[in-house]
Amino acid sequence: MQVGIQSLGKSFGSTRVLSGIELEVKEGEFCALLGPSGSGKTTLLRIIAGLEFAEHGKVLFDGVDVANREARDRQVGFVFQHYALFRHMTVHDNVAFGLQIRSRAKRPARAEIDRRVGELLELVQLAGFEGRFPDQLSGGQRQRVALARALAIEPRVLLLDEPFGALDARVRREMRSWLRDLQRKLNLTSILVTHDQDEALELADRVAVMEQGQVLQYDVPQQVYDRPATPAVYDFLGGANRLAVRVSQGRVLLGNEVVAVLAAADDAAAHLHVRSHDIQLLAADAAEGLQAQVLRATWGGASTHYDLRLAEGSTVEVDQPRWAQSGQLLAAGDAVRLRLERFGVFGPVAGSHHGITG
Amino acid sequence: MSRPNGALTESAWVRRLLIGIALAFFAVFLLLPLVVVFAEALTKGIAPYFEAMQEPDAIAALKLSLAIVAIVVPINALCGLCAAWAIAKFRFAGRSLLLALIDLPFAVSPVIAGLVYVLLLGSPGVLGPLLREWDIQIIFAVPGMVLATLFVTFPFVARELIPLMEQQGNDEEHAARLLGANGLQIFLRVTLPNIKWALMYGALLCGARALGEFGAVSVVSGHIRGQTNTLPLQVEILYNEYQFQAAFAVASMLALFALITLAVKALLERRYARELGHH
Repeated sequence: MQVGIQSLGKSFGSTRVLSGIELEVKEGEFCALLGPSGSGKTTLLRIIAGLEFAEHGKVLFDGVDVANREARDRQVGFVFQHYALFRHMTVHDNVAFGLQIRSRAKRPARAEIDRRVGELLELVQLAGFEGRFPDQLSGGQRQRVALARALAIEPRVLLLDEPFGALDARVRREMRSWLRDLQRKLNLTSILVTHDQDEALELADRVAVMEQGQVLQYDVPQQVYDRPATPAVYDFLGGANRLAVRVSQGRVLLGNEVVAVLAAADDAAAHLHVRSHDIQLLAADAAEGLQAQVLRATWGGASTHYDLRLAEGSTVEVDQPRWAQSGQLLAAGDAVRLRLERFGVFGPVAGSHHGITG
Repeated sequence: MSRPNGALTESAWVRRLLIGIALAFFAVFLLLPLVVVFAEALTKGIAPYFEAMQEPDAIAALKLSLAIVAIVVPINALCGLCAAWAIAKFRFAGRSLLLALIDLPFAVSPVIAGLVYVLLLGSPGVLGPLLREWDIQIIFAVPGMVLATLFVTFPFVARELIPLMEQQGNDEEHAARLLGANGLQIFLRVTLPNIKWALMYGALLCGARALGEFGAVSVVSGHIRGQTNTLPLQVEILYNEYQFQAAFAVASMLALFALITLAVKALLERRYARELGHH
């Protein structure tokens, strides 16, 4: 099923939690709502489910406005962060709940329900767990039961509210790739709420980056990551350095050094965003690059983290991957040169420019 | 020498002393009175004991007490459940006021509670003339006693349920709704099973208090023997008439109910603890 959100807005009292939301999730697509807490992403998900109501705008299921359809009639599968399993029911009864409460005319026969529950538990790799109670399961198992329960009613769309938020890091990674495969297999339109950028980028076909009740950018993960639409998106997606620069005749100036040349740009003060792993460290006697001094070096296995001070005074963080390290690690006080491999320039007038040097 | 619980083993004497004080207190102030009740009731032997209990007035008092409990407990369980549901699951204007009001019966002296009903519903009271016109007798009659008991025992169920329901949150109800359940199905299949032991526990405490309530009931009761006397009031009357043995015999009935309550409570607590543990 296709989900459409049109100019949606909502306030809690005088606080505006969502405004002007436009979103379209295609049939079978996996969409992630990514943003910090308080960005309105969970509220948006609950509005789609029918647990909350918007003041403005529309929610469309296959083009049909669902404003007048109650949550129980929307046929959505919802997975909660804290599982929300029925604690006094067995795994079997949890999964069967959505079928057992149907009116007699629509309820499948008992044997049919049992068969469906068995199939679903097999799908979530929990065959044989029918008789257990939720408090006898691990976090990952509980969340898989919750997923099976949501799938039992054959939902038109699957909504996941921080489904892995309460799990530990290792289980979370396992669940992530498993969920990805399952969603593909079922070809079920899905919307995931998360504050974890890795989760969003890895799982979703398209990512909506949200902040302060607005969608800042909605695009495929590569675009969102490589071409952030706003400084806020840059800030949110992976440890970016933010440096004050000047744009003059198409040249981007950091202090007096030309960092990059842009094709077309007006003269203005601007900010340059560059991620810590998009900076290459060069030898101090290299012919090019920005001069800098090491303030602190922290060895970290896969990469070494450097805090550096540029010649013009601002500080920069750099992560140097292990393969790029040769010989001795740099130490505090050492001189070094930097090359910015990928960056974005945002100015009040200039708009956004993305550059790749070298 | 190894001392695994160094801090604790060192104060063995302090420990014994504290336990001793607690036990002595328990014996003197809780156990002894219970023993005295039964001892006094049996001073003249078994036969007079049962005779005193079979006294028509005593039986009438027992029946009235049980009738009041039978009316009060279901009503307060239902109202307490509604109040707890509203407070724990919804945010609305006046919520904190309602929360404070629920505790009012515990804060107000039961005698005052009884007096309020007399002033409100008695013949000189606000609604008195109206009630007299319709020939409805509430004060100094059974309806007044039921009302006073309702007031005094209202908080038990709500107070038991509110913290539990708040802790459990709304997620399960929301999950049920999204799976297609209607309001009644959500209540019967999700909400109620999650709180049933706490509800029974609250109802039990409510019943115990309703059976033993003296102050409020005394004010609104007409003290008419065989008609508007509950067990505690009957005990008082007998005692004031120097019929000590009979007074204690009736009192022993109350004590017996208390012991039964205690046993059921212990049983419920075990199930209740498991309910709290499920999360």
